[in-house]
Amino acid sequence: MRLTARIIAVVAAICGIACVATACGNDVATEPSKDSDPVVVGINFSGDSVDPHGTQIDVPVGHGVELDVTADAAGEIHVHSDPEQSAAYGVGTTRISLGAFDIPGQYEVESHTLGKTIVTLEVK
Amino acid sequence: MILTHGVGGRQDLPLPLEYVIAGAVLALLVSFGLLVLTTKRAAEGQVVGVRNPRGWPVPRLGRVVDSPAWIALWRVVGLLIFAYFVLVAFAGSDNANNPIFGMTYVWLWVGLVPFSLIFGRVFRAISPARTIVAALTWLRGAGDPPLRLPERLGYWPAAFTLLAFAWLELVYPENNYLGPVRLWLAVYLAVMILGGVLFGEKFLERCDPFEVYSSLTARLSVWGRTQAGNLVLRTPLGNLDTLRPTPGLVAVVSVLFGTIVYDSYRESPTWLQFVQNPEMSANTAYLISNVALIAFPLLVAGFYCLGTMLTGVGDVPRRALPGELAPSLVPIIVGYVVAHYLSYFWESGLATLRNASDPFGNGSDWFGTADMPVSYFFAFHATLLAVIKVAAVITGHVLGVWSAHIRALQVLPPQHLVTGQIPLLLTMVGFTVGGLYLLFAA
Repeated sequence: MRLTARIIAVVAAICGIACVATACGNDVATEPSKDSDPVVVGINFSGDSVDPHGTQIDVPVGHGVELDVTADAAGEIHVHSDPEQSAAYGVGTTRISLGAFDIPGQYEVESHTLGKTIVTLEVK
Repeated sequence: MILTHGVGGRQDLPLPLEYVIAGAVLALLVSFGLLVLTTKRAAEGQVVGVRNPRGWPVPRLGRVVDSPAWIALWRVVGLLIFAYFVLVAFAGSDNANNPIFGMTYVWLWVGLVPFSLIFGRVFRAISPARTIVAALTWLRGAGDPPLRLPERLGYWPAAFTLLAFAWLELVYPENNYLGPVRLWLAVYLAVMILGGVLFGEKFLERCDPFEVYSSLTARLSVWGRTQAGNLVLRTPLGNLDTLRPTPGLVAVVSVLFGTIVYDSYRESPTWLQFVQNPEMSANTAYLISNVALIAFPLLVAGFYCLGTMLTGVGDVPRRALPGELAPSLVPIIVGYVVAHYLSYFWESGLATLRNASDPFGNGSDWFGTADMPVSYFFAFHATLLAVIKVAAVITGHVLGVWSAHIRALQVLPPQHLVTGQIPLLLTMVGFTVGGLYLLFAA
């Protein structure tokens, strides 16, 4: 049984180290900055392709997001937030405001027309 | 605002790297600690096994849960849920407000796991297919079903029906539209009823994806049955040890684990950028997703079979080993399901409850939950969530390794106890670390 005790001691020590290590390194809830500038994401549709196509965008909690869409054909964008948002764009340049993101997490911005994920907003 | 399709919006932030490293180190240490501990005890001639494998009898409770009234009660509950499904499937609107999507992908598919862990074989008790088959059998009168399911088929059909559901959930692009979901569920029910009438209840036990998943998870609950069918309380590991090797069991656990891993991986930026490359046509991308859905379970099965077969030394029949040790993957799957779906189950489950109260979007409030705000508890307690995730994965890993050891000690010759188990151990550590890495990367 001494072996069991030793194993438990080692595990406990590792847990302790892990807790200490993570306590200082993990500031998940960032304070919403006073700076109210929205994060602007440039999106370019041409034919069947979209640029970017799967990039991660960092968004500080509380900041708004604006999509700067340039397209050669009209279409629709979905944002998987709660409630889900959906916005149409036309040919040329369209500015879409998605409002502020107050809940940390990852949100996919998707082209409904192409069925592709354009960017993932990483709100933290 | 235009109404969109589908369930679930917010996804968790990736697991912090420190948690992944701490978890991986812990998994490695615990694994080798257990290896040393069990082999040392076995070498000293002590019996290494589960406590009270027969279980503690609970005859009074057994009489209640086996009474016709109790069985009928849960069948009625199952039929009521089924009736609600039919209602929203045909009368509900084809948008995200329809609760059918959340009920199928969140309540049913994810909810099976916690409910089966706590209450045992829940889906078996409420399965509408089972009730309908029982009614049809009763109408037909006494006698055996017309056909017999070959014993060597085992769980193989369930591996394919589980894959079929995973395909709908993870690959099929129109899975958030009412038509396809309704069609999938209708075909599922038709096949189950037809099979149940032709082959008897054995068919549902072996082919119904939800029942197989639920009953497999229930092996980790405290509720067990003796050979004679009496209700007993067992330790989860003791209960898991009663799962005997059956053909197709390895396939089922590989499909379950492989598809959940694919679910994690398909959302990672690496995968998204790869399948959405502008030079790749939509058809090719769809084909690749289909191949990946099959490739992930195959990879899991390949690694697992290799690791377990290498475990055999001496005269041990190597080919029997994957089947013998397959139950040890069940806790690893459950641990990963908890880590991957906890916040999704909480948030999307609550959102579904909200939608279910007003299924037609006309302002009605059937269950009093129509105005309930969705709680983002886990989004705001990211550290707690991360700790729960790592703890779930590690707990699953420890139970899996322990269960594998108990089995391995029964089949390995004493002189190869330590060396023989190392490949197996490395495989399980590989699964756990891989799972943790995906929680970090995706």
